Amino acid sequence: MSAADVVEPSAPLSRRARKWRLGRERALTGLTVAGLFLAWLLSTHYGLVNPLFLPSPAAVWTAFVRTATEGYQGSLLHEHLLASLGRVLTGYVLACAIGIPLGIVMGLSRDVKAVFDPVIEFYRPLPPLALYTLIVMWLGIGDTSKVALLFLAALPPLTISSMQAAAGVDPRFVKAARSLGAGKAQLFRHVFLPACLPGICTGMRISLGFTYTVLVAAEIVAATAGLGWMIWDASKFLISDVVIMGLFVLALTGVALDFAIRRCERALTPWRFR
Amino acid sequence: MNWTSLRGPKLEVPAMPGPMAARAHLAPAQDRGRLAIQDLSIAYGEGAGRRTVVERFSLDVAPGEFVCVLGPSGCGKSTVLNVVAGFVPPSRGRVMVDGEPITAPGADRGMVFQQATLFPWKSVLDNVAFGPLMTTGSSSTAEQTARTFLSLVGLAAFEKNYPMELSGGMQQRVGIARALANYPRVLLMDEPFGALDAQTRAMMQEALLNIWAEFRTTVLFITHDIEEAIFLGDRVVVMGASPGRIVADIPVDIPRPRSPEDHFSDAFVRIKRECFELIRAETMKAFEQQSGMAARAAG
Amino acid sequence: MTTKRTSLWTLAALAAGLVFAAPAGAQDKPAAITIGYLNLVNAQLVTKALGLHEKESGVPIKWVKFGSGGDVNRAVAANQIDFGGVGNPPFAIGVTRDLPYTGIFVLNMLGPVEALVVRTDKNIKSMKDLVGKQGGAPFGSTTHYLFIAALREAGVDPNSVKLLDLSPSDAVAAWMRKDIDAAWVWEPNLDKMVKSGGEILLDSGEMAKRGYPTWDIGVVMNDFAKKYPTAVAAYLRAECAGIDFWLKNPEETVKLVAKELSLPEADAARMIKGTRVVPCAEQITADYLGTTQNKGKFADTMLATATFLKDQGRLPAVKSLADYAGFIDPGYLQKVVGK
Repeated sequence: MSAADVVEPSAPLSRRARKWRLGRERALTGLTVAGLFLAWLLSTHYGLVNPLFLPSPAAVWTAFVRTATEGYQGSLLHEHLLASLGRVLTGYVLACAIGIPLGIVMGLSRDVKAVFDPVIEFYRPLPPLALYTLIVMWLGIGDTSKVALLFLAALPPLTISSMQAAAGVDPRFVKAARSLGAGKAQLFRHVFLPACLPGICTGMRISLGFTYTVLVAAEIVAATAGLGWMIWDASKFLISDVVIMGLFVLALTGVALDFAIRRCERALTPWRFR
Repeated sequence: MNWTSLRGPKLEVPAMPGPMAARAHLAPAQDRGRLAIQDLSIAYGEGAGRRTVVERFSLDVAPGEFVCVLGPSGCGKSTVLNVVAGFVPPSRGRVMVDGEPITAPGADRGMVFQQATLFPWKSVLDNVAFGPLMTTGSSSTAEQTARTFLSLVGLAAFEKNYPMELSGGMQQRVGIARALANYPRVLLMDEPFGALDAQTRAMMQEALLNIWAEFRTTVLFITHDIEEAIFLGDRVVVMGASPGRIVADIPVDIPRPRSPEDHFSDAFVRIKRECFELIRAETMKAFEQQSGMAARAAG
Repeated sequence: MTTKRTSLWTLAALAAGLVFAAPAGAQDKPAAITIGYLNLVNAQLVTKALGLHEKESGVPIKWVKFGSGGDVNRAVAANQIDFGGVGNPPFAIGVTRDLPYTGIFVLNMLGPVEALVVRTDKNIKSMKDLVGKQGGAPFGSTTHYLFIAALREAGVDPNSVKLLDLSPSDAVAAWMRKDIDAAWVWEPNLDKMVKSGGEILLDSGEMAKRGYPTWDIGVVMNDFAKKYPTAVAAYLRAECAGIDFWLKNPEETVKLVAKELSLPEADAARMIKGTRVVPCAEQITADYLGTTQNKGKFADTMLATATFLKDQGRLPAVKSLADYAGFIDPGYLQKVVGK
């Protein structure tokens, strides 16, 4: 082994090396996806698994085309998707509008924290479905209870991360701003809020991901459209190609949502991405 | 460096504070920036646990004077600075700038911290413009002022960058520009180069002297580095520990402008020896006090 | 709650295509038996209450309650139970989808124990009055099937009624909040709705007379039956003993059912009356399972149910009558009753 073979693990990578590294990572990711797909294709093609458990890629694709053009139980695929996205985003946006300011105030005032913290900490570990039974009794079987469940799922990560962000603002920034002549309102707008933003953004991402995972649970009771309901209903009738297709759409939409919120994060906190 | 060359072609001249006010300070300041610390004591805690950090500290700094406060760590020198900045209220005595007693932090006292504490979410330009924006409320004026001071510290080309993209020394230069952009009466510097490596630190000391030559404001500079204090200051105020108090006030009679060669001049070496012995004696005293306390605690 | 959580897991397992093979072994006795039972009123409650399975099989029994046959199918797909019970629509769905189970005995014939309850103050006198109203039934179950069949019988387009997928317990919650005006579910939840402003418009017994018989059938997992044929026989002996007890000791049965479901005895008695339990010897006649050589009417019902579900877009294709008959095996029961 020559000296050139010894690479310092922490040595900063050159532009070319970084590019190569990124290319290798992408290739590995691509290989994994291709390998899984191939395994799926071959195992179904040679009848190694019961098609009830794992339908072939072709069957899933057919289910996709059929649902997109003819629909599933009265709604086209994009209508199911929009119904679900509508519910998720309504619950999420409401949770952001309430959870972020609440979290900031909780981070700043121990009294406010003492009031709200037990409530959030009490229901946070409850499984969404257990909570849902109660919500259905209170709010009925309509969309209100579905949005309420998604709202409740979205809230804790938002308040907790906003609270931690607000409580963790470096006091040296406040000191610097005050010695530069900043008043209370200016301090809040120019120092406090931007200092909290990275933490809040992280909370927003975690929250959206978690809210999305609760979607299927939220659509189990008395829905007539929605991706979660479609998967649930299809599984009841053992239509596994629709189940798998629905899961793919659910996963891809989830990835798209995460991508969208990363873009928001970049736009809101550009200094972290330079 | 010529001050007028730093002005942009369309630079407006606001009444006060503005470049004209700064220009007045280019000549040795006469009546603006007099700092008076009178009989200052600072103590923390209550009852038996009460601990005096600084005792009977008195210091007069003339307008435009550069005073270095030198002392072993834990002697309370930073606390004195925080009182002047308005972050810590004095337990006894008073602090005045141009005859006005200090009650709260304010834009008339610019502060440079050990870490640059630049706002990471603001560009270099917006960081420097922050003070003027707070005091004038006009972002265009603030930006023009900020550009002037970025040129003064030689970082005009980096105005669009974020602080994280700059080296430690560059960040600290931005920090100095940010503090100066408010045209403060007094510039308070709390070991501003303490976190830098030796080479950068030497460069920064020269840069600071050049900036100060352009912008003659009163400076109170805290450090534990003897050579730094002598190289920069008109006076070196040596502090002793437990409780913090002044043990010597040594004038530095090395003519300005100074150069790194001055480190080897007779005057420099003499003051350095004097400071070294004072600091050593204070450190020994503090050490004996501590071991005495430890022995009592053990016995 | 438990059933829903269980079903979510089974759903996950189904989606991932995970197949847990039962531990292989040549013993004649399994280490334990898991029985999935439906939350309704039939002789299985008696069998359970009297501990007959423990006595007959001599191994620990794990009882898992399911809200509807659709949930049982999911558990079967995930191989989580050894024995189960499903109504004819979920059985038709499972069989058409080649679930690895076989029908071995009749749990009950559905009569007034399942009924369409409507809100009294809404003045609903016929199926036509349901147009534009909101109704509920557990999708994929006997009552969902009958709800749509009854609407079609009355010449009402099923799409003109807003039919929601509600488990019987969720239907009660929705009913209490006046979110729905009609629901076709079974006891013990049916009674709760009747008692809070409801009346019966139609029941499953009436639908049977009109040519839509519904029943619940006891099923066994094929792998289990192959590995432990004697355990299947023991299982059937226990179930038949329960049925005998139900038929011969009505008063004791009322007490047992009331205790199992935490109901007043009067309610239990009425629900018991609404359920028809078939003696084991009778189950192997032409009206029911039939015999190994001559399968009975159950196979016909399955074909009819599957055809109906295909029309509803719930099944992609229908198998032949012989195929459906193949999923019913009266052989185990014939041995137990000695015929």
